[in-house]
Amino acid sequence: MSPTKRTGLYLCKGCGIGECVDIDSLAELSEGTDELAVVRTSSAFCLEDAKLIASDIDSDGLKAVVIAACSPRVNRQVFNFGTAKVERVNLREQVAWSHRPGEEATQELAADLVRMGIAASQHASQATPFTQDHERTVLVVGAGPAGLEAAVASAEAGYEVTVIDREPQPGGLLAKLYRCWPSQPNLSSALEDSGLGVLVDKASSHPRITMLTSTTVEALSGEPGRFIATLSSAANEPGGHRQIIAGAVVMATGAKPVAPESFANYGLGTLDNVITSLEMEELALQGAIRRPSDGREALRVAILACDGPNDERNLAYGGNVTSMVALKQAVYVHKSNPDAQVFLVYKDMQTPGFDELYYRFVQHERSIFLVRGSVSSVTEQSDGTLGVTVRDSVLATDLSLEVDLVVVDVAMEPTSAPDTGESVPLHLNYLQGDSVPLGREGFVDSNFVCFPFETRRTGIYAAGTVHRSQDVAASRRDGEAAALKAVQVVERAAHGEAVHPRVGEVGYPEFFMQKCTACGRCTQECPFGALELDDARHPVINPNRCRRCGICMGACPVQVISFPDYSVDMLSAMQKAVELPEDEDKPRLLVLACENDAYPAIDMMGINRLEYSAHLRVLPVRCLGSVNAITVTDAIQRGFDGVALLGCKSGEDYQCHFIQGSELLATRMDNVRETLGRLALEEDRVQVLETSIADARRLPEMLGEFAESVAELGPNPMKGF
Amino acid sequence: MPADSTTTDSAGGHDLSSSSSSTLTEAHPPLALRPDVGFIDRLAELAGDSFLSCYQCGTCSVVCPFSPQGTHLPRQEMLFAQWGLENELLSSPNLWICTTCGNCARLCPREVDIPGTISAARDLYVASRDIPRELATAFENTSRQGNPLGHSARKRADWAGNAGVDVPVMAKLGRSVDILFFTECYWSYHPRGMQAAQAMARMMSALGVDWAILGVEERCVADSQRLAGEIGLFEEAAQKNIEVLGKYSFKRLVTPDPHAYNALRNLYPSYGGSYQVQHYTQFLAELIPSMSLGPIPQRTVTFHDPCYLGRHNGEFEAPRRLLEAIPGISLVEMGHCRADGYCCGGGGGGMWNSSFVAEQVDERLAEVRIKEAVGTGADVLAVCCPFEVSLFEDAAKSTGNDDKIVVRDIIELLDESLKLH
Repeated sequence: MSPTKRTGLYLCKGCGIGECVDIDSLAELSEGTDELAVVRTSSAFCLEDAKLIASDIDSDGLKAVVIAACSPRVNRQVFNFGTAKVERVNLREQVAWSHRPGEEATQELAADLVRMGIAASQHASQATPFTQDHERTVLVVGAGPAGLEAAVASAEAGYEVTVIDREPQPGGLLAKLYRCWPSQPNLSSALEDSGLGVLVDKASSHPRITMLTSTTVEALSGEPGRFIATLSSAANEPGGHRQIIAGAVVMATGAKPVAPESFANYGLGTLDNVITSLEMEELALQGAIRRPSDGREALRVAILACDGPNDERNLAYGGNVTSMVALKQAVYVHKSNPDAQVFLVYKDMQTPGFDELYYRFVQHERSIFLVRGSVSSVTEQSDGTLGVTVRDSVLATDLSLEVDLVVVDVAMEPTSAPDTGESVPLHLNYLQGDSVPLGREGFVDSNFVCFPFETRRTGIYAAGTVHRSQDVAASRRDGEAAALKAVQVVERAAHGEAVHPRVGEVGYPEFFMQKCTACGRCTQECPFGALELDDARHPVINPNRCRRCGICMGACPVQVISFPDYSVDMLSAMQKAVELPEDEDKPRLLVLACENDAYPAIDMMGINRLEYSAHLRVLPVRCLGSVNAITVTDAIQRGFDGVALLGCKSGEDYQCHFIQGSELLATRMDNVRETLGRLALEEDRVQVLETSIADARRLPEMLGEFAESVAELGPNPMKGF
Repeated sequence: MPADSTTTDSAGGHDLSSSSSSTLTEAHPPLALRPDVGFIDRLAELAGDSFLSCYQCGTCSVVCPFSPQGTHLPRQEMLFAQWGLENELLSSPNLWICTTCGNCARLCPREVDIPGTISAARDLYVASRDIPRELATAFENTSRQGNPLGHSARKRADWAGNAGVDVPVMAKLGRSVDILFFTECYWSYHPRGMQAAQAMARMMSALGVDWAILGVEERCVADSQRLAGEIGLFEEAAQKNIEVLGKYSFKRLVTPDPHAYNALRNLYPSYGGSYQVQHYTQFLAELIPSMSLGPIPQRTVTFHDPCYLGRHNGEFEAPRRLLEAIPGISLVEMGHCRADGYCCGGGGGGMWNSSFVAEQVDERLAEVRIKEAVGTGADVLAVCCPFEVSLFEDAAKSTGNDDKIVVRDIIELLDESLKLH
């Protein structure tokens, strides 16, 4: 154990703690220990007495304070004392509010928790922030509506912005559109100007925005605060390369239409008068809607939403956008010639929210006919007239249409999707690969509910149609929101602080390199690609990429990775601080609880005054992924009767705040089981339990079942050895 | 459906009787979609254009009382209307089985006036094509005799002779009254209706109400004829009735017929006749404290909500309060009750179209309903719409339930209780 630190212990009696446990005997517990220089009690440390703690730190030179009071999730600002490391012991939510007052088991629980807090304080030190040269600038890749809006928003917030686009003109796909549907629900006009001109003017005339067109990113390395982007330009300077440093990156590389081959069954590519919705925009820009084969005005037009059973790819990227495009283009035809008839063939109209009003509005145009069904064939007669057969209509009979023009409603595929044939847009110079890891259907996203805009590359934020299928108005809002994330990371990185979800955390992983076996596992398992390898194949951290989850720490087979304030040693010392009575009526169960959802849910049990077993000892961890197998096997070998790993849902609908943590745990559990087998212990002594923050009402039962199933196994035979 | 389902210029020449089935389960050649915008305009002028809002969710067809018989009603008709397919819409047999009961419109998320659209389509049909014969006869009778049953207009008040109490007639009274009782056709002429009317007269007399009837001056309100497509007939009747009503002074107009109630209350004001109108159950429910009701032999009663009293006009309580006021009655509810009440099949012209409907569907609505009533264990089915007594009594016989359940108008049950006091 490292030399003892001068530490103070502060035991609070407020909020019912004093009535539940005997605080004075807890104070006596620590008598005679080396660590504790000061022990105090108070009826409420969060009020005036907080000053007592501050003055003890000043006068006694305390390096650490253990505050046994309310949950660490509350009163963070009150119990923040600068240089002294604060360790919180949760005697309120997890003892006084959830266990029977005055009972021996409750007192033993409180005593163990205080001992665990003291142990933690001896193994954690105040971290020093990482600092380096940094830039308060933003690089926006893609000058479509999302990118331009992100650029303007960042610039308005006071940051220098470089916005680039590979095309010679800004605007992206929007520049190719004739009109948009109304951005406001009042439907004062059926079609609206896109507003692109105003947006481009605003961006290109802004003093803090540099716009580079015909430019792409050739390579991107570095980390938040200091990304190094190599830009390649078709037009400017000799060689066409330049390097810029950026504090953050907004990825707004947009989308492209789903490949035309997907629509061959509708005659696209073989029949002259079958066109895509993008080609329809061109026709509308030219004025009257004329069919390609002979330039005759199209008086009967079929718009196919292409959302039938054979349109999987189109459906994956359609969202509300393809439905709304179909409705909008029906209005194009109607506005161009009120006598022209439009047939909109669809299977599922997706018009959420105010879009519904537009759907209804279009239905009431008497020359626009909505036809529900799937298109089974499109054929062409010699005069260019097209026959469309619609199957599975509501009428249980096929329908036939005769039209002059068929418009195939093509969805937008993100430029990030692996098989779009696009080059990898950002060309990351990262060990884990040159592409930003993708979410569902190839969109650049992580957990869209908890962390919109976050990618799995810290400091790079997605916006617009590369992020999810969305319309122009939504893309612009997306760009603005991503800009907020970008300027936030710039500021945090300047202070060496983490961003979401451990916002403001400064300690980052340190490596005891002498013992590193250069296996490289940490570099592979980091969900954020924070680790690179040096020439000796040893890990090198980019601290500003790190989200402080500790997954590397959980991964390391030789336990050389630790944070100044979170380590395998610390967790080990904490579990060793728990007394393990040999009394059969006093089983001891260790609960390693994820701080993101499980720990708050346990607090919530207390807030709701739900009782749970006093034999459980809750040890908070940053993520289940940060739990090294040795932490679990040590606890079992020491004599804990059972260990529960309480964390977030893994799998496709994962809720892990660090994406892969709970998933990686599953593989580590194999090692744990192997150890259990070697010790001739039952596998059920260690269980992984999934929970979410809303689960407080379900938790007592879940934990009860765990405790019961372990009780059935009898006491751990390792106890006392 | 017509075998040749292309839109052709055959308007007027279509023979309804050739359409033996309203379902589309057999294989058909594709239906050519050639919309007639002019037809959409004509329909919208009559019914409003709410049918254009239909988004084919199918809720209407799920709750349509005919849906278990595979009719596709009214979803299919809304689609034909939206697409301007005149021939398909007007030649659909469904057009003539709909009773305008309104359960579809109650639940339509797009608030489409489905019964109104069906009626408008019928009106366009009536103008150009032959309607089912039975229905045509009812229209003719209404036009000539002022009642769809075809009885002499001069005999309209004959029922009063056997009431056992004096039934005052406005023309003879020569003064104003509190209550003008609008007897309507079925209580004036139908044998079972006449019994109810006579019971009503005894109740009025027992309560000491200052009342009178129009007698031979009254003529059919013809609201069901309107919904069956004869808007002209309805308007003509409205004009004449309003003229007669204008001659007299009264405080309230009370009628036993929910269809007449619907028109007198909701439509007559726009033709210049504004009255305070009540259904007879509403009028009597107010007078329950003054009624001297004696205990009748113990009976379990279930109540059938008339579509045009309940769903269309929101009155669910008055009939139930009357039934609960009768000592000896215990009231049980059917699964379909109140707003979700199940149609008896008589509305919207269904009363005079039973042969045609029978060709289209396997089971009449009244038969489905009587089985539901029997299923509750009730031994009396209580009603308060003049169409219902005869429809349900026939249905009880045809389904072999006439030994299990009897059909009584609420006024008959009240009359029985009154006598036993």
